[in-house]
Order: sequence, then C-alpha cells, then structure tokens
Amino acid sequence: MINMKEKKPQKERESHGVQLLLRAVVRDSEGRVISDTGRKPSRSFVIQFLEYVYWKFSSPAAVQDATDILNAEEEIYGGDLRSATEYFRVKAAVNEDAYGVVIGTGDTAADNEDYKLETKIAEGTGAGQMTHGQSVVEDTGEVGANVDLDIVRIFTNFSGATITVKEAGIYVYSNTHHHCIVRDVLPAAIDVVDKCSLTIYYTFRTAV
Amino acid sequence: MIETYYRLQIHDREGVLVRDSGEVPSHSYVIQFLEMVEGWVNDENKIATDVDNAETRIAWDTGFDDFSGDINAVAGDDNHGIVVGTNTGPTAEDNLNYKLDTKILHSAVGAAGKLNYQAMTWVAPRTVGLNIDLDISRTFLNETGGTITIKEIGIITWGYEDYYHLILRDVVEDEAVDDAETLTVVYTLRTIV
Repeated sequence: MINMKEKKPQKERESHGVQLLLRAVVRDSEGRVISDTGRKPSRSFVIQFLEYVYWKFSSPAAVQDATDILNAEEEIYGGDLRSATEYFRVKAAVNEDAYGVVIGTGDTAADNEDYKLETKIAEGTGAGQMTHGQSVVEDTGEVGANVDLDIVRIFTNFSGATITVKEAGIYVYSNTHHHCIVRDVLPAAIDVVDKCSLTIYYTFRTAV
Repeated sequence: MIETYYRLQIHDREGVLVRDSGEVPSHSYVIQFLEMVEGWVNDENKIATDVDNAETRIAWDTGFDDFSGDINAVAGDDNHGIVVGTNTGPTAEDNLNYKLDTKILHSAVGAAGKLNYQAMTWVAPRTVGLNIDLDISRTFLNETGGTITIKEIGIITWGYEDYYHLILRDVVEDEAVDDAETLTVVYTLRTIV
C-alpha cells in the first residue's frame, strides 16, 4: 500500500493470471514426430473473450453482442442462446471447420481487436485445404504446480502439396454465430507436407 | 495471457484516499476457474468443489448456463462477488483452495468484526493503451467502531441452484481498515497481444 507517506514493497512473481500456451506438433503419415515447438506462451486472447467473461460475471438480463467472424455485432450472451443447444462451444466434430481450434495461412500481426483469422484453412482435401479432426476439450486438472485445461485438434494434409501454416486460433459457436476468442501468429511458419498432420495444443494454465 | 491484478484502496470518512496499493499481480486463480471455463467451452455440465466443499455444478450444458459465473452481487450480499477475509488460519494460497479461510460477513449495522458490503461495480472491457482491461470492484465500509485487518481477498461465483464457487483467492499484505474507513478492492483482467 502507498500510505501517502510510506510505500511498502509489493510481491512480484514471474507470471500471473491465466496463461495461454500454444504447442504445434507435426507428424508424418506413420505418426512419427517431425517437429515440435513445445509449449510456447501465447499472448493472443482477443477482446471477444474478455467481453464474454464480463457478461458472464455481470450477468445482465439483456442480450449482449460482440464482433463475430463476419465483422458483424452478433449475440454472444443471453437472448436466444439461453435455450440454444450450442453456446460458446469450442468442442467440434470431425470435418467441422467453422469453430473449435482453427489454423490459417495469414501472418498479419496479432491485435487485441482481431475478430477472425486472416486466412483460415478450410476443411477438405482440395488445394490449400486440410482435414479437421475433432476439437477436443480435455478435463481440467493439476499438473505439477499448475492447473491446466488443454484444447487439442489434429489437422491432416491430404491436398497433395505442402501447406504452410502461419496462424492459429479458437472460434466459439453460439447458435448461428461464430466468434474468435484467440488468435496467434505463429513464431515461425510451419510446413505441413502432404500426408502429414499438424496437432495444435492450446493450454489454459493457472498457478498460485 | 489474461494478466490479473488487484488493487486495494482505503478512503477515510471524508472520502479522501489515504492508502493505495497500486496494481499488485494476482497469482491466485484456483482450479474452479478453469473448470468453469472448461464447462463453457465444452458446452456441458461441469462439476466443481463449492465453498462448502461439496461437488456441485459450476456450468450447465443448456438452459441455465447464463446463470453460471455470476459475480454481480448486490449490496449486502456476502455470498458472492468480491469477498474479503481475515485468514485467521492462516491458509496459504493453493490451486485447490475452495473458500476463503475466514470470510468477513456483511453487516449494515456495524456488528463487531463485520463489514458493510456494497454492490459490485464494473468498468466494461475497453482499450487502455496497448491493453484491453476489465475492472471489477467492490467497496466495504467499516462501521464497527474498531479496526478490521484484511489478509485475504477473493471472488466467488453464484450459479443456478444456488451453488457458490471460489474462482480466485489472494493472500494480501495486512490491510487495516479503521472505523469509518472504506476499503475498495479492484480486480483488473487484462489482455495484451
């Protein structure tokens, strides 16, 4: 406390809050690891995530909008979503490229107000497309001194050519709308050769 | 990264700021926070340890999910929102904390050892320099005639079916709140690209 007369020292530790970590692993068609970035800090929660947390915390009666991936202000909280089957959903089925963990080829610098990936890779086996596995939300648990929540998705390249991935993120699905809550430009572009897979691990981590 | 800070401010009976901690890094999200987020993004029911050490729902699959994560407590409500305590145990910060060690209760008539809990207040997410900040705050009045020393603070959520879950707890440097003074606790959640 600053006592207007006296300033006490404050404790300071290396990290605080909710960390977000990103790991990208490339495997060949036999499942052998070709490259692994390890878990690297991701700094790229975007404003839509904090807006959702704000509305969950403050619990207003009225519907609340946020900028969706089409740059339109659409429901992210309340209203019709209260009875919707899908609400802020990241868990996604195989071949679903509209939400869950997503990847892309854009490398425009990340910004607090990003509302979509620059150039999202679509589902498929055509040129520039990748097959999307399930977007899986793991159980939260203590891992060493931390508490981790992992979200994982595997993308496989059957396009016949190498695809270079430069960005990743998380889209949520609420009724008929999609919102971006995380976007990262990868520290280094990742080449995914034909028949190889890319697994993206996002880890939400807290630690006292 | 969602950087999280707390700030403690003491005002005297005239409303003059007499002490201010400045922004102090908060390290103490507890496991229930990520369990709640898991329930949100998985869009499923999620069970977590509540403040009574019982396993109860912290997130819903549909229908009631808007009623999970509510910390918007009104004046006089000491069950959820930002809460403060004396940590008489004391209990150290731990990932598995599920309640404050010794929560201070509300009193509007200056009962001994109690504080007058005001309503939660907010500043919605907005750009602050290079950041996006969300501020969450609450003021507590000491009308007891004596001094109350705060040693822990935290946030408790309310959910449908009246379950309460601790999502954040910080052990703080002793903060003496004298009679007629007010304590304001401000949590700031901050994203930085």
